Amino acid sequence: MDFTLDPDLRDLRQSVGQAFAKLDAASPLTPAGRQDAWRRVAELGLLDLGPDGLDPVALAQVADELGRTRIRIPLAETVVAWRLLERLGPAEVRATLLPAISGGTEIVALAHAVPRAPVGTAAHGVRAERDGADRWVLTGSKEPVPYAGWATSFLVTAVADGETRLFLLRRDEAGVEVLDYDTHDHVGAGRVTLDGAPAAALGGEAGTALAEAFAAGAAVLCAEAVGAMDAALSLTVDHLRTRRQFDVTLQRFQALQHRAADMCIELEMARSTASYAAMALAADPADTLAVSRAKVQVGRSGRLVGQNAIQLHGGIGITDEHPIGHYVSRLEAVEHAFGGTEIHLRELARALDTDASVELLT
Amino acid sequence: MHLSEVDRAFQLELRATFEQVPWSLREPIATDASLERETLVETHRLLHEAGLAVPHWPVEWGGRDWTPMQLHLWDYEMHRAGLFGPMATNTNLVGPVVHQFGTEEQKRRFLPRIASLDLFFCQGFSEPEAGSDLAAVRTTAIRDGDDYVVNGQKTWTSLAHMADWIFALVRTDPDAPRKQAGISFLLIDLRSPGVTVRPIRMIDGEAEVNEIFFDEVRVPADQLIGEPNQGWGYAKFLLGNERVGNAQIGHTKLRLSYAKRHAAEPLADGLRPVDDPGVARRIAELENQLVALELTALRVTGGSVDGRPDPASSVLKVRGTQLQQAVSELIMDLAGPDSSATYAGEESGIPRWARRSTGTYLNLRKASIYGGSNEIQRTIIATSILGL
Repeated sequence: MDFTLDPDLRDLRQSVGQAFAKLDAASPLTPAGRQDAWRRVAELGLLDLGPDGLDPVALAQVADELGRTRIRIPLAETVVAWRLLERLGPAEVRATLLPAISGGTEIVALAHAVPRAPVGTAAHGVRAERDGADRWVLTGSKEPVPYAGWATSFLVTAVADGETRLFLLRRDEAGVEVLDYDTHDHVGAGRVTLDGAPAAALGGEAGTALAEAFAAGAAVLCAEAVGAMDAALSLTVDHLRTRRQFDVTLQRFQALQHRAADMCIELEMARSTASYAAMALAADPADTLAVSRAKVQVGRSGRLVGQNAIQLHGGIGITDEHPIGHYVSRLEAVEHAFGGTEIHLRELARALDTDASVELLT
Repeated sequence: MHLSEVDRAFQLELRATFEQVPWSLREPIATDASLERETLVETHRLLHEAGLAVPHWPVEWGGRDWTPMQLHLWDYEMHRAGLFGPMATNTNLVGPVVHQFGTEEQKRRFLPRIASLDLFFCQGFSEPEAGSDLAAVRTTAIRDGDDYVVNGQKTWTSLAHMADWIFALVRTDPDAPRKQAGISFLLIDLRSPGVTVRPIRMIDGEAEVNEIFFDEVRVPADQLIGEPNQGWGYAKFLLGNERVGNAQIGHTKLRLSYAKRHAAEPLADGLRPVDDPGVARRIAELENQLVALELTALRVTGGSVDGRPDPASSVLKVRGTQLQQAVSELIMDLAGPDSSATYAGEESGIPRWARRSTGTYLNLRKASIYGGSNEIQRTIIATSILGL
């Protein structure tokens, strides 16, 4: 296990960091600002996720830089869609759709979640029925679908002949209705209602593919959260250095120093496990347990770092007018995406008996 | 613990009264909706007409001479029924200051209108440079004939956009040797020329706090409560009462009962979140911590007695806000992926409690910051209780 970056990755990270900083300084939260960001990401080749494109370790570098900004683009969601299409998509779909995704012209959102449904890989809420030999129609609804307002196509999980399968359909297809709304972290989500919408079936039973695709997406989000925590901690440290109360700067109060120190410890734990998850997936995309380890640590760290960042900022920390709240909000969204802390802890608990102890270096 | 027969009858009578309050006034609390001015004012008016807005005040100003247990039951039953309660800025903050420190003339002039909410007050304490260091307030009130002329800025003023008046800490003696010495407690009509109120958009999209700017605002000198330059003592008295209110035990208990209900509703696969032992233990732990806090609140009165704050109020404030935040965190986690849909409308298939859960969680980060941050409370505990 080598945590040092090779020169190519360092260069990638630097150029991506510079590009994101420029976009973040513009208007990251407007629709036009977001589209600029997406175009730029495509131009930089960051959406080529094929064998010659970005691997999980490189993606983690990009995501870490993204996390330092208020830019909200579907990087992790695109990784999930790509992995699913790559694995289960028919050849002609892969030949046309994947290049369009990496070119930034197609955004494929995964429509999987259903209100008050358990988190996992089983499909809920949408039923697929055969309509002729090779045609399917979908009925039901999915929500919340991240980036629903922006997507050009949806990958929908549905129950077909009793099993969970994946279906691809275009947003402008008949029988597709999208109600989109903003989320607290300004990613945006929506309700996708399908009323006999025609869709193409992908591969067979989708459970394993979904689990591995979710792990790939979660690893990207873990790295994004590390970038967000890093940014939140450095804003907090700046605040402690400059804000004066009781005739001194806040950094003079040991109780506050210790809170910042705890944030630092949590951040480093998160950074290590997020890097580990990316490396583990690069070696074996089926190593979902490594991602669960990172997801638990990043979830716990994100909460402690977020809560303390606001506390140490005081009142301005809970206004929409200060950037710190945006990072905290994003950390919460990451926590609940692709299985929250408790869900991944359950996975780790289930695997307790597998080994006498966790062997990281094999 | 059994209540005496008298107290039990008292409790049941209050319960029946509060359950008769129209559902429209209780629903916003039950469903986490935004609170409208109308709801707050109408709730207060109903309570006041029933003699239930200021039972803790001196009898001559509308108090009921209840025992501490009866006051506890009153507060508890109000929350249990999902009532917002009387406006605390009026009944717990400015009212007690006026009857403790005001002149007879000020009591006669203000207390009835404070009790009835004819004057809806907001609290003008914090300033951009005076947060935890409250005694650093810079807003000045300089005597000019029969008036004080006020200049400066307040911030984080809750509900100022709904309020009619503000009670403010102002500096009346800029040359005082200690910064605490030159402060006074002034009541100001927000419609006075020179007052500007600007709502601040919060992290959850709501605008519940404001900045207030005072530009050459003339305030009649008889609206300065008690003595000039004694305001810091009055403020400390007020803060003791505020801390107890900030503990929000009844409200947290209500929210935890909602959390238990959400955890017991089957998900799409028929399983209930509470069937997960991790979830069940987490709820049980919070419920037990809340029991300990409620017992503590029954054991120590807190608040301000004989014009001085009881440091035990800091214990209630710290633990109460911690639990308030922990319960909001639990509800957000129970909502899971549904917790992201903050700005979805009623057409969404996600229940409102889940949609609102992250906004509420983020919003409640304020609880450990306002009313004297929890760091300030710990310092009070260390110095005033432990003598460190």
